[in-house]
Amino acid sequence: MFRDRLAKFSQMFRLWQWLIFFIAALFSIPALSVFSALFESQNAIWDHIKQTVLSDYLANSFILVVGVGVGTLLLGVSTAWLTSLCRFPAKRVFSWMLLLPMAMPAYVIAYTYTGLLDFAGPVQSYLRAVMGWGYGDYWFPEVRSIGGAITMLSLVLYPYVYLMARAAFIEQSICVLEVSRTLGCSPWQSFRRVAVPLARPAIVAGLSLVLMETLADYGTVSYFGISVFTTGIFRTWFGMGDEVAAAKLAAMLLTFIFTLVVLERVSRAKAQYHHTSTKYSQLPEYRLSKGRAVLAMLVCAIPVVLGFVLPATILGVWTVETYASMVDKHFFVLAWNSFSLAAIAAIISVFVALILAYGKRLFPSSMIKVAVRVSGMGYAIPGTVVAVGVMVPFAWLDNTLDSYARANWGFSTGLILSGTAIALIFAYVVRFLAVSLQAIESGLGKIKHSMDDAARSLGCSPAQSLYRVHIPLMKGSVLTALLIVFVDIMKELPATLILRPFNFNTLAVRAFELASDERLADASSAALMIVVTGLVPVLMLSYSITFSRAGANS
Amino acid sequence: MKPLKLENISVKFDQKPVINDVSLSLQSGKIGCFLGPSGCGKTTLLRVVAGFQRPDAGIVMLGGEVLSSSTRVVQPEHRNIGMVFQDFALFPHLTVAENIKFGLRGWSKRDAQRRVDELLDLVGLSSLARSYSHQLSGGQQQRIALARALAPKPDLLLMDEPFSSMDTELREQLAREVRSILIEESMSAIIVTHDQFEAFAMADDICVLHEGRVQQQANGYSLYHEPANPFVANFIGDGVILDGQVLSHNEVKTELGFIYGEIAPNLPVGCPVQVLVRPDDVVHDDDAPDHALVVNKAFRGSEFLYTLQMPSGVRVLCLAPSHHNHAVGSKIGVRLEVDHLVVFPQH
Repeated sequence: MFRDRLAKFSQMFRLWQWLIFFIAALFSIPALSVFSALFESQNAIWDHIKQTVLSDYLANSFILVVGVGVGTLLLGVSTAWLTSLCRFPAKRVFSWMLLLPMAMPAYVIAYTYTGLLDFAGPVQSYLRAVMGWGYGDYWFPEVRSIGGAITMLSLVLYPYVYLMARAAFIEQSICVLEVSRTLGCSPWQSFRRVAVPLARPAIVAGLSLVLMETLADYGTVSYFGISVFTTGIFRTWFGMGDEVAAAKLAAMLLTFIFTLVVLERVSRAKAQYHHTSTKYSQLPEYRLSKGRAVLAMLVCAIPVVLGFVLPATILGVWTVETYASMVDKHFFVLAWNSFSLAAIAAIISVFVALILAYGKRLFPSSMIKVAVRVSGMGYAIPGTVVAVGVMVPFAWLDNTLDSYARANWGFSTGLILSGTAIALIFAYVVRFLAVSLQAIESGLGKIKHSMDDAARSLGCSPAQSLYRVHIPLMKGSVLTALLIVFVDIMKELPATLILRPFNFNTLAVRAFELASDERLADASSAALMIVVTGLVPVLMLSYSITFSRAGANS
Repeated sequence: MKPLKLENISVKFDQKPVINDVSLSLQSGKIGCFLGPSGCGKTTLLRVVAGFQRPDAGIVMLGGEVLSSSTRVVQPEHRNIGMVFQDFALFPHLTVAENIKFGLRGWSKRDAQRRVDELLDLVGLSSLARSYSHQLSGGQQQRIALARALAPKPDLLLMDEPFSSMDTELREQLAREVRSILIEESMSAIIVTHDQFEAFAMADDICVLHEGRVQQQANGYSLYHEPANPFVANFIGDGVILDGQVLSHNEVKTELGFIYGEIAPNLPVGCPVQVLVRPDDVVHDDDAPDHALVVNKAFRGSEFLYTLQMPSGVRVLCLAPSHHNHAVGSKIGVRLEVDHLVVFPQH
């Protein structure tokens, strides 16, 4: 009996499983190292922060989260309802164009609008020229304000709510809506009393993604000079050189985000509505009267134009104006840096995701499931926090190694991890593993388990069947995972700013630096490059949601 | 070819026993069958042999080599056991020929190609070598799955409900074809099925499973005529179990009359017993002294299957030539004509 148990135990913990536990341990280092700062002794800078700016950080972060939450809900839910259940001209075009702002990093749209709307920008200059006003004669909304930041973030983040809400509206079996109509609800009332409550879990899921991104944002708030946690972490680290205080701030921010994640889970668990009917007929659409159709088009056009078309056009114009001086040898070095970093990290991330997802399929024990989930939690951690969480332990390791080498071998090893791209790539993989993991898991889920058994009975080891059967069968998912992670990394700003090796620039960093130096037009070619790359997965996503929906006649 | 031996195999799912101390063996070169109602554990037992399910206790041996015991587990890829899956599990990203070639790693290119051609020829689908699985009919997929499993010349072939997705008419023909292919390749095989006619058509040696235990292992004829217990008697073929009493070493009394035949020595005279009566044991005879009420009848072409109620209220089945057409509610004469007396002790 004992020997039997022993054999089983050793069987359970084979190499693959150890690998998964190792990855989970490695990937929780950043979060753990940040949280461990909470237990470090108080210091003068931390006391100073607590007494002076911490309340600002809290207040501004709170206003930002509430503002962006309301803004994305208004934009996302209204457009989702219109494009899924109403009929008006150009509805199909709008339903995919509404995703375009996803390709626009928030910091890019922020400085684009600043260039357009600030005092020296074309809009105010035109007004002054036409009206004959001078400085101080008129009121104009200030872009670089917390209201501006809320607007910018809402414009690029609402697609998360839109996507989730739209999917939920489309999946609602039409019967419930028809029942509500027969019970005397007007279309508006059935929207308010039936459709939205039913879609609430999905909307909340989209909203929690939005709020996570809002709390994680560094580029926009930093450019607008708003003191929130991410800018505070940055300032404490680089301005005051105090990594313990920075880590304490990071730990606080992380606590808020994990609370958010838990709240979302809880709300979803409570409000798990099941559709009582599986009858998905072709969705009947509310035909809108002419006036209302125009209104609907307007509601859909505003976020598309403001969130994508206008800023992209401005970027295009600026690029045409400046490319002769900006697109040179250095620009291609930047592009190469961005592309190669993103490609390497994307490949590693997909590789790790394959190990985790396939391992979970091989050994579906609860311990493995927990380990896989822990490995993917980096998505909830803001780039600034990941960077701090990577930098602290890596620097310690480098210094330990270096002093050991000096003492025993008489030479310096330098900063092997923290001074090179290794730290940056590790941070990227930690931050974006969840993205590739999700794509790979859904791809694997579509492969029947008899495929695994068939490959095994034909002489393949698990690793061989992954290579010969599973990967070829889910080529699409693997490519999607690579692409999405690649683009996310191209856009990533704060971790890159903190962790990049000395004298090493990427497109995102360069665009941000030029914009911060008020060279807005000069920043446009790098920014446009990021936006265009970011468009590829967004267009793929638009294609797939336009052509797949429950109940549609194919 | 190697004989298969299972010793005291037990499998539990969440503390619930699914396979309960099963021992059996299969001679090499024979086609065996795990037969039983759904949930009897037959597929689990097959997965134990294949190596996909690790038994909680017991030993699996193939040709003297231990495949699974408490101290040693051979992974499925090292067992040299082929398997045909219920859903065929053809790899959709590979052509038919590539599917068959999948298990031939380590073979020279020429040998592998020759083996693929040989198997395509054997299953009669050479023209489909370049097709993909979604272009094939169910029957074609089945034969490709068989060819793929046979290609690496396994020591044993397992087939999980191989015909369950087929039309009834197709099933019998395919079962015959598969059997002749297996015999041509002189392959030991085990099929799993819930369909006794499929088992009779395919297998030399049938193992009836119920509630995780082996009920009886025998050929089809013996299972029908000499069932080892009331479960097998009920599961295989039609029939009714009547109460009776042993009168002598070769005579039992039932309410349908006296039945003669050999009775096991452990049932003494006077002992109350259960007697199996098959529909072909009850003969319709207008001149017979006993009469029974026709309760139900089912037309089966050349025959009627009558459900008859005896004066005592007991019901039996009776197979009568279809020119004996009697209405439900009428009374017809019957007598017993039992060739194989099957008697179980009363509980």
